[in-house]
Amino acid sequence: MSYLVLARKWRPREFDDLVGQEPITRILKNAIAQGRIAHAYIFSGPRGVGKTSSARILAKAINCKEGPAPVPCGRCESCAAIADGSSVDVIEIDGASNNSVDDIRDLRGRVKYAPSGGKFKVYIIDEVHMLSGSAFNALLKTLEEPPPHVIFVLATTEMRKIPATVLSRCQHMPFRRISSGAIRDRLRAISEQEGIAISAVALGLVARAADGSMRDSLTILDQLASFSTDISDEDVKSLLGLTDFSLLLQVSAALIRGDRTGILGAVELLSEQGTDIRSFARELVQFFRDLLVASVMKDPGDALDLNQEELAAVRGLAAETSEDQMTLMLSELVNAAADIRGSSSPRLALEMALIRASFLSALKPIREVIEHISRYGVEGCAPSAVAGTGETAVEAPAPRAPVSRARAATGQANRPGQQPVAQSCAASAEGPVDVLDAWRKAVSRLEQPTLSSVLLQAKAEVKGDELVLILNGGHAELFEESISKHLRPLEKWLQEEAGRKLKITTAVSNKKTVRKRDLREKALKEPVIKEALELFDGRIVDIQPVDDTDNNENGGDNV
Amino acid sequence: MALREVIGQERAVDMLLGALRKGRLASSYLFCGESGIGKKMTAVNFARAINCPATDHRHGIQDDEPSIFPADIFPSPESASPNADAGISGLDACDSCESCIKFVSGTHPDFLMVSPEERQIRIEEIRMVEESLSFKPFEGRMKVVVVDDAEMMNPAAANAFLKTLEEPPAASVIILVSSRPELLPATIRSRCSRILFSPLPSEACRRVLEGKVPDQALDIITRLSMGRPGLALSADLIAERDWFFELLGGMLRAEKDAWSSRDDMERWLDLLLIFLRDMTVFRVTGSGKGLINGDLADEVKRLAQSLEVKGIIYIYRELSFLKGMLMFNLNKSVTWNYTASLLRKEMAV
Repeated sequence: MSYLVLARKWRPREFDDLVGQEPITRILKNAIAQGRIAHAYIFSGPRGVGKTSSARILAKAINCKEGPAPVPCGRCESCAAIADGSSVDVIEIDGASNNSVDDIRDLRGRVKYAPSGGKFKVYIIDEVHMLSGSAFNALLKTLEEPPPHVIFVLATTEMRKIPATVLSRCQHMPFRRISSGAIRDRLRAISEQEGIAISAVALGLVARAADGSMRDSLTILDQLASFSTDISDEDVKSLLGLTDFSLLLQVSAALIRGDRTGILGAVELLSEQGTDIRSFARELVQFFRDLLVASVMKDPGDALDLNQEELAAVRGLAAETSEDQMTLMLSELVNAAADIRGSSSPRLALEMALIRASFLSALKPIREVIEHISRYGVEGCAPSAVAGTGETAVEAPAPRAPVSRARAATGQANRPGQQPVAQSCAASAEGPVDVLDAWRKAVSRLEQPTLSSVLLQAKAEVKGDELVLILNGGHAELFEESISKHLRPLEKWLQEEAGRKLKITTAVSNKKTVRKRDLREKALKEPVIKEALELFDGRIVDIQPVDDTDNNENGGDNV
Repeated sequence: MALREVIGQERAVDMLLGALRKGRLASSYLFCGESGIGKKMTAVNFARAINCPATDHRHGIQDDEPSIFPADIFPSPESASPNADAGISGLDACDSCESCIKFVSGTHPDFLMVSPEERQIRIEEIRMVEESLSFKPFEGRMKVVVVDDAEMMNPAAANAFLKTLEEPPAASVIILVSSRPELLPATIRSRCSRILFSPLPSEACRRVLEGKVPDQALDIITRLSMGRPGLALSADLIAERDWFFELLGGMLRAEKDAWSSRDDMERWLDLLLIFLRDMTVFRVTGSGKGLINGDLADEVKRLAQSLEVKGIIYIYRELSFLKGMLMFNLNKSVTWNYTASLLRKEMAV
């Protein structure tokens, strides 16, 4: 008999062996004990959490000669036949290979025959998500009302591919990822019985690397057992291609200090050591997360998987930087890790990503910038003022980025450029406000919507007995004729509304209207803003003219 | 060639030999690592070691089962591999028996290699594998199937393979080889023992290439291969780089596109990315040390002069994004013009 891998050898044989799926095992056990077994189940969940195993245990439990019993005896011929896969009453179908409607028709043809030895015929359809659409539909009637001796168990990793019509005919058992603690305990029990010596730390590392899957963890344990008799955490790290803590620390320190030569040296070392660059990128993300946790929490003992020495080192490094900066770097690195994973040359991608991230080390935390500003008293706290002036400029826009990314950007009010103009004229007009009010009423009596909107957009000023309309260049030319035609009735209406006679004159504004598009272009040309945008893949969300009078040197930039 | 002679993948080889020694052969393996670092070669040699009758593993046919080979046909392992150290002999392939020779000539009946056709491995091929695995080994100990570029399996093929991967017939080993394992479904990855391969350290890479490339070019080629000797052996890296510079020159002079195929584009962009990386390294360190194109330091310097590190990184990111889009059938001349304008704008050449 050839060697059986641990994952197969230790496949759960009864419900109590199944780790981490307590709610489901309880439902199934109770259903069997009470004789309330549904005719169709669907087991879903990630890989290696016990779906196929549960299906087999269920089949065993209901066909056991002593049963149906929640705990199959494991000795009777039915149990033995199911265990070695030779039972004629338990039919395991690979849904991915037999996915056509013909396969399902064939199955329907066979369903009606009574079981040969056991009480039930159990059809286990694994990877059921691969059935074709018509195959699913062909199954529906059988699935809803199967012969009394038939039980279906569908198992799948991709729940979303199962049609709702199938789902509604089955009892759904959602399997969960197994916690790393539960995996560790199970691994310990198995390795003891297998005579594998493995340290507690190493077990923890294996359990974590398995990412919630029992099978993955056993596969790793199997490999470890094959090249070492006394498994240490070093062995696990070497097998999984994990990086030394000191090297991680070195790279992170270089990154935080902006030491680019150091970064290149460290990457060189990594590749000479044969470290897996892709998993290194993931670990670096984890490391920055640890850094952040260490600086946020007073007592991070439980949240971090580090020993005292490592914790001290992490704390030391966290003290060199700020939370803002770490957050920025972390989000840079998360993006970089994705890039590196997809790159054909991970080393190059890692180098470039780290160098890019190292520029973040030049940024000052926003707290410092604010202190800086208040200390040196930059007039006006509008961002544009900061962006336009000297040294602070480099610092100011960048720390703003996280704020605006959180969509907390200031000034969401989307005012059109001209409105402030009208408002300011209302405030600064010499004449009583009611004259302007009257003017508006007068215009509204004009039965020409286009013209009246043009007139309302124009800036109106009262000068003695004159109402001066300041039109912008385009409007003045275009509407000159029609305005002069309607001037007389307008004057009359104005007199009626305002109660006094005013002469209406028109003037052409020579000031260009500020348009958002122009502002945006202007802002984009600003080197500081350009750099900030490039560095963070940002874009300008909104621009607000800061003040009408300062000719809009800078729009406030909300990246 | 035996497993021991695979250069620069000590970790992987140790693991495989350990599995042989302890008789803990997994039923399915996933060999992953970048292309050109010896994954497939190791897989073939592993299959050989498994099947070499001169070896003495505890897996496969039971000890008391009579061997189908008369023992005296084969030289004893000691005389067959004189340079193998004592702990290894008896595990590794002998290189001289009938089985090993059949491997060399590619006619071993218990060995099957599947590779993608037209960038895909289809369900038919997987069915063929399953059928072949359903028979007992013909003359060796175990049937070995190697699936090269396993990430090219289409979803139907991958799913159809799952049940076989998890519980293959007795006396069979499946080895998936992939340079992009993250593209494989998690359900496949979880069923395989994963063996990591990494690019070779430069010393080992040099050893592999020694004697296979012209001596005077050994240094340069070692560096250009970036720890992937397979690349250097399958193509003339220096000629390739000359081709790259020729096209780069043409591009900067606003000539028309000169790529002939999509593979061309991909390779060219790869080389450009390497060159940009070198420019960055040069700007950071200010010296020619650590450059991949070490022999062209002057050229790197000349082009890097006009650029800030940030500018280079900007181009790098744009182009690596572009490279990622290649699979969507980018128009060749549009891509060319875009790249050209990007370079000209930033480099001010």
